[in-house]
Amino acid sequence: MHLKSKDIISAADLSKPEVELILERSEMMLENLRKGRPSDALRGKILATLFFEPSTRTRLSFESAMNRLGGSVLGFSGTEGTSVTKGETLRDTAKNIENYCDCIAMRNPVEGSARLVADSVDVPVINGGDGANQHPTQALLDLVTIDAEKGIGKNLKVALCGDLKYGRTAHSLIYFLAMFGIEVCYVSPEQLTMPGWISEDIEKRYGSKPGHHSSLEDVISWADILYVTRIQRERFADPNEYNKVAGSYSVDRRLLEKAKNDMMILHPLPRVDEIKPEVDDTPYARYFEQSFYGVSLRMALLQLLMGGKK
Amino acid sequence: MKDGLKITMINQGTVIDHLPPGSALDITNLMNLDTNEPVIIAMNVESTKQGRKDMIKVEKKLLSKGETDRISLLAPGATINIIENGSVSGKRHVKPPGELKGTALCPNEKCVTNTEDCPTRFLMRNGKYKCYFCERSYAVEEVRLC
Repeated sequence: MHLKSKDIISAADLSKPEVELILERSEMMLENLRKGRPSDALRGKILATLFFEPSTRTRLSFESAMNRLGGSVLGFSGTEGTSVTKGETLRDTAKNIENYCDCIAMRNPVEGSARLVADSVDVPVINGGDGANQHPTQALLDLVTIDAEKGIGKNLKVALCGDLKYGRTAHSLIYFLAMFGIEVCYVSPEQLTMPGWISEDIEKRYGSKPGHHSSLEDVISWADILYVTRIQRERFADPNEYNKVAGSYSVDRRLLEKAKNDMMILHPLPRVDEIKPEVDDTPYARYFEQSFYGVSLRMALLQLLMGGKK
Repeated sequence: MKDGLKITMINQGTVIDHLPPGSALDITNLMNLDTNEPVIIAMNVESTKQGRKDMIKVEKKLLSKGETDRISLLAPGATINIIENGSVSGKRHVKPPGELKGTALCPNEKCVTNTEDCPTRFLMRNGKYKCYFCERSYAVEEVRLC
């Protein structure tokens, strides 16, 4: 099995053997990183990063990963200075840029945009977030973090908390958790529950049927992992609807008194107020380590997709 | 007099039967009809199966796949009869197709098919239409025709 030239658009597209291959390769990359072993696996290859909406970790970790593999990066962050401001279509932009690169990593606020680009170009495309739809590489690095810190497949219990309706990270991660038989429960306000089409799909595929809670208090002593997401102001068409749910959850030291000793808190970041800074210094907080795993995971993906040597 | 006897027979062409009452005009609008050939529309006629029904008879026409797909969305359960030499030579029940390409709009206004010049595509999954692009699923009756 190989992933050469495969597009990474949605968690739903990946099989368990493919995910296992990515985890295995990511572990190898992590070891190389930790030992400071240089690599030129992708020397001569070029990654284009097309970020039509803001990104800190995803774009920079893709760039870091490519540089660490000896490759080069070109691209843009924000559309200012590109022909998009002249009205160029997404498809035309992508079809031009594929002439300059060997792989495209992109983020766009429009749902399905990465699929459209992938169908329009011959180079592999990696979805770094398409609106409220999917963010598969974030979910893969979450899985890498869980595997490295806890080991997957050990009767883990994960509470997915926050904006599950618009949270693309949660939409991707739930597929991988269900794929590995990890027990999940949802914690969200009623208005922000996991979309029915995703819940139905994971039940059909993996037999997974997460329960729903509206209070963190209900699950804090149950969870091995608390995965917290931001309630995203930018996804709400109506600011009043956002105001109704903003600040629904706050993880603080008082809440953590009821947690298991080895429970860990993950967050795709950025956070606003859903995890208090006082939590950062506790052993529960692993969200900064989590972003570290993003580099090795993306090194693994880039190497697998562009077919460079190990 | 029975309703059936009021409706003229056709010699060659297609009869679309068992349409929901009141749907015939909408369905006629979906079809590419040759205005030089007879089209017979019957509305609210008696039906032993469904009480009342609409029916369309079109002389010298066979439906394209696109037309059949569109009819299946507006009138799932309709019957299409192929008429040759005044007799029924083929009959099939319309059901929502496994894939819709360019025939329906995605109800998700944030879907790329609603912002870019890009043909829509839906795949039937678990009895619902899943948008190939934005991945949302919709009941058959939620999908709007292009």
